[in-house]
Amino acid sequence: MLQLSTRLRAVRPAIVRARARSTAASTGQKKVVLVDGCRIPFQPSRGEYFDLMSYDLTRLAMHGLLTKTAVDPKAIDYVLWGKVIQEPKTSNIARDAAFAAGIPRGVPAHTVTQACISSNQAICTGASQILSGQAEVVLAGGVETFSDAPIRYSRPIRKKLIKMSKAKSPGQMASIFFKGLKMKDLAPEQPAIANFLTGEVMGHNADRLSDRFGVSRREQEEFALRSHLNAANAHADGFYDGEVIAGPGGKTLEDGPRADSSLEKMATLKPAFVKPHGTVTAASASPFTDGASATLLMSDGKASELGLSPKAELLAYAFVACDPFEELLLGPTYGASKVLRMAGLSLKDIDVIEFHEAFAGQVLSNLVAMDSDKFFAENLPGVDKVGSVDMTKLNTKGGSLSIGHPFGATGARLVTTAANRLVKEGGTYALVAACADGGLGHACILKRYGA
Amino acid sequence: MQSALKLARRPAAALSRRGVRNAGSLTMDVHPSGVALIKIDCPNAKQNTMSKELLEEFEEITSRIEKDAAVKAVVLMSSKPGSFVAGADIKQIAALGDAPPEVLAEASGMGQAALDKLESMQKSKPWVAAIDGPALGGGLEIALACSHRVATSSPKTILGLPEAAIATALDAASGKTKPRQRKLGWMDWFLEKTPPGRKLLFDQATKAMLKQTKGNYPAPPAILECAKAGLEAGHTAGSTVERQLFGKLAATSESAALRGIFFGATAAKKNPFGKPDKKVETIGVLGAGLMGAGIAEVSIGKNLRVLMKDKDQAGLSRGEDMILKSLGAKLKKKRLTTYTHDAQASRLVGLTDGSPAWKKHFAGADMVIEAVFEEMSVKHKVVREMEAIVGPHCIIASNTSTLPIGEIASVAQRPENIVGMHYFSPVPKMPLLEVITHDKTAPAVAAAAVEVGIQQGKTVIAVKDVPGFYVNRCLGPFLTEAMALTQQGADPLAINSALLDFGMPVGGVTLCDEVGIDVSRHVVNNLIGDQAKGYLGVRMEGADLRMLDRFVEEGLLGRKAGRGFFDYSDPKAKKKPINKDALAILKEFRDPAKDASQLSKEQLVERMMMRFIVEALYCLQDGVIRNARDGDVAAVMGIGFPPFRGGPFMYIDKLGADHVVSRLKALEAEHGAQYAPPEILLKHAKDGTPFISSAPEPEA
Repeated sequence: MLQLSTRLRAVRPAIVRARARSTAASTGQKKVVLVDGCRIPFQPSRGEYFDLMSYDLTRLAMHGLLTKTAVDPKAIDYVLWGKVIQEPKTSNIARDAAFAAGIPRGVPAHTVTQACISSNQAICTGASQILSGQAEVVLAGGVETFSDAPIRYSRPIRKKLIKMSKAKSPGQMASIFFKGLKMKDLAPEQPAIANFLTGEVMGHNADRLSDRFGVSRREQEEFALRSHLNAANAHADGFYDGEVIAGPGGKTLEDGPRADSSLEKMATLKPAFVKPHGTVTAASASPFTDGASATLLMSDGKASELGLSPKAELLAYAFVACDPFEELLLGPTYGASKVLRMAGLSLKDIDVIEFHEAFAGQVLSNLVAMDSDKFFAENLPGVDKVGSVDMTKLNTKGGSLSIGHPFGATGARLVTTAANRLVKEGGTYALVAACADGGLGHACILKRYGA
Repeated sequence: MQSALKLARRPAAALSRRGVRNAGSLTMDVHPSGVALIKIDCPNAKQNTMSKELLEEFEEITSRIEKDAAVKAVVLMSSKPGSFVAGADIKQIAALGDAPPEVLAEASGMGQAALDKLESMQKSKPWVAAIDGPALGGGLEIALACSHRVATSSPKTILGLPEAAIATALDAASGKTKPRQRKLGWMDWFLEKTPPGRKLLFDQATKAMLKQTKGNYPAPPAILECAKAGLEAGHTAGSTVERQLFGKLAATSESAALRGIFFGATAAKKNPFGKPDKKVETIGVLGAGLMGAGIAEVSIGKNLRVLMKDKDQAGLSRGEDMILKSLGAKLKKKRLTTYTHDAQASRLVGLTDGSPAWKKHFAGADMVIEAVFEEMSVKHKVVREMEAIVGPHCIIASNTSTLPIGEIASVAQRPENIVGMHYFSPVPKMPLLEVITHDKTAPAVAAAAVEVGIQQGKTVIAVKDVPGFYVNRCLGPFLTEAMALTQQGADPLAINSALLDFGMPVGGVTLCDEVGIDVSRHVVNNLIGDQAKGYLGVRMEGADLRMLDRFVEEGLLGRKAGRGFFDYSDPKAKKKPINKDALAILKEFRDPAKDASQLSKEQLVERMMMRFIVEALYCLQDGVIRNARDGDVAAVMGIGFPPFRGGPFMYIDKLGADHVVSRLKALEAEHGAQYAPPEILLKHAKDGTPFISSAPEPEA
């Protein structure tokens, strides 16, 4: 059996492949296992969680997972939490919320941020802590709220306010404030969903990417509809029972997925980013969503010591980075390629695929790229293409387009859903991949525990 | 006492050159800058209290500071963390209790003189009171006399004047402190400085006060009298009135009764079974209804982790919402910080039958309190199920109000771990907990149950496993008599108002409606049966209780159903009218042989209260309660027996045992053996001994 270790990543792919397929007993090296995961219902912003802070969503998810697994909070060694748009009051939200979730004071915690793969980074940082012997039990997850985004004064006003704090009299304060004040300075500053370096809004890039890979608006809308129907069915079938824990008031249903979506309705929408001829609309972009998700990671030895039956083993993981100008959202292609090579597996070995759906066009573009010899020849010479993704394996329980995309929380949702699909469908390997602002990408491979 | 004084003096040597050690409780240390630091430290006590000795020292030290030119300002604080001065030394008032009012007035005068002196020097030598912990009564008065106060934000820091509750305080009266501290508006000027204004002010205040106290508490009117004297004739006259009234009040039976309850409740905070072997940290609560959620709420607030389980998510969420709403209200009132609010919420683990890990959670519980349906077979099922899941040390407590604990334990593998914990609803508001041990309950288990109750902030009394335990056992005959009176033609409204005037929080008929007539019927029926088997036999007679069955048949279940004896259909109606259907049933059960329709309020009260008292006496005689003090405390805290009457036993003492015997004999002759005076009462009447000694019990 294969173990994930820093040493292993350097091993030549051919050898790794041979070992991955063998069923030899563990050589005694540690494995990282996912004991369980959960999320509070992801809800459209300004909805169920309008009155809550991201801190509240976090403590509910943490407390919920501890309740669900009945793991003694004292057993936790470290807490890691992902978050993208920082609430200045709780910049280390991992620590603040862990306190309020009943995790003992002596458990250290930190917050990680890596755009939309923040909670993937939390999970993988936890995994490497376990592998390096720093910790045996790690609580990792992520959160986001758009209902309580930090809306700021504009920079000129901020500068004035900082200067004013040194003022000696009200008159002086007034003169600092009004000197050179422009009307437009008074407009508040919203956090933008745009890349800092390029200034390009995500949706705009997704539109250009779809164009480049020849993905039509109709195809995007068909994919978005599929996402809604899959999510609605998964909720109706009880797939999410236990994975989606009760939120405040006992609600387990998510308001994002809409079983009544239709292509006709979607076709009436106007392009949201590239106007007027773009192809990405509100229907084919992931909506602003509030939510939090959590996972519990352990060394396999610790899990058996505590009498737990884990769901999956975290077999391999990779973070990649590409050009933020032209490949901003292509991280999944590079990531999937890399992590498959690391694990010595091919796409055919994979039973469950969970991709983050930032935009329908972005997922479909990545699918084209993964199966393109030309793309690989140009960008990863000498590396085989990933191959054609079997749609019956991809996001069959919905995705970010329907369930929603609370930036920091999506990664832990993907990993948990992938593990649950492995358990419920009896598959062996799952591939998770996600794109993130800055041209970043993440992919990981899970193996059903005991498979 | 000698050695205590020596101990207290010893640290004096360690003080700086200018340090002065006073006799017992006060030390003064003068900083070279001219700031004197006075620390209060009452020897051998957790809390500083305002005793005669402390006042004497205080007066002395203020005189000294007044004369000492080197002292320019003073900081007054306690050297006990979490304690400033927690009010008057109630034991001392109790000890003075038998003294003539003039002696008590003198004690009060001493306090006034010290405060006057303190207040008068503030302009030349400002004092700062540094408060951490309770500053109550006299403690707060001192702090208010200082020119400045600083207080910690600790949750232990509370400021208040609670002593009206024990009918002694006349704080800040005689108009000296408050009016000076705020600006006088024209309205204040009118109300305080003009005779018609004052008349209006005090008439309104008296009216509002009487509405609340019904004239049963002597302290509030006395406080008003003081304030009035102070406003009309000035501070000195006010002080004189205050002294005289204090002396009178401390000598009243109401003050004695309230002090008695205070001592009883303090004693009930001590565990009669000793310290338990193992500390309970995690409690499982079965059932998230009103009871279960209430038990969970008081537990998470006191550092206990609670696993609250209900059948399904809907039931669980109802309970969770109830708790979170109550926590949210405390957060809003700033009684909790965000962190303490969230930390308390995090101690609540909500589980349902469908939670995959609920058994694993319960395997880690130290105690399980069940609040499931009151039916023996259900309780047995719970005991069997829990014993299979929980660890061998885990205590299984039943929050039953009617079922015998011994019988619940009969199916247990480990009956020694089974105990009764009878909470009163609503749990967060009701201070009493009855802990019931059956024959096989291990002492360590009883100790742990009491400890948990104390930790939850409850006043705990240990009770024997008999039908109704103590509180409901006494309530049964009382309710029976209320029913008997209605059947004999007494107006339910008259019964209610007679009891309210007596000082009960709700009338006897309304009580049935409030707890639910089905529940009342259950409580009452549970007591009917053979005396030899622990039931009440003849002591439940006097009324045709089948009447309650008829109420239940007709769906007249009380307030929760919108109709019972009274009609609750109009939520705005202040006085609920009698329900017409109830009247019809009353007519059906009218006892033609007797007529109670013409009884006076006093007669109505006597008929009902004597039934209560007889049963309380039997409980004492049969060892259901450990002592009379417990019986008083439980009656006051459990059903709201008028606190100023001190509970059934102090009430007997006040009436005189021989008088009660003669009244009971008269009632017995007229109504039957349910009024027969118990043996123990006859004995006390013969010996002339009180049930409760007036002096506080020695510290255990």
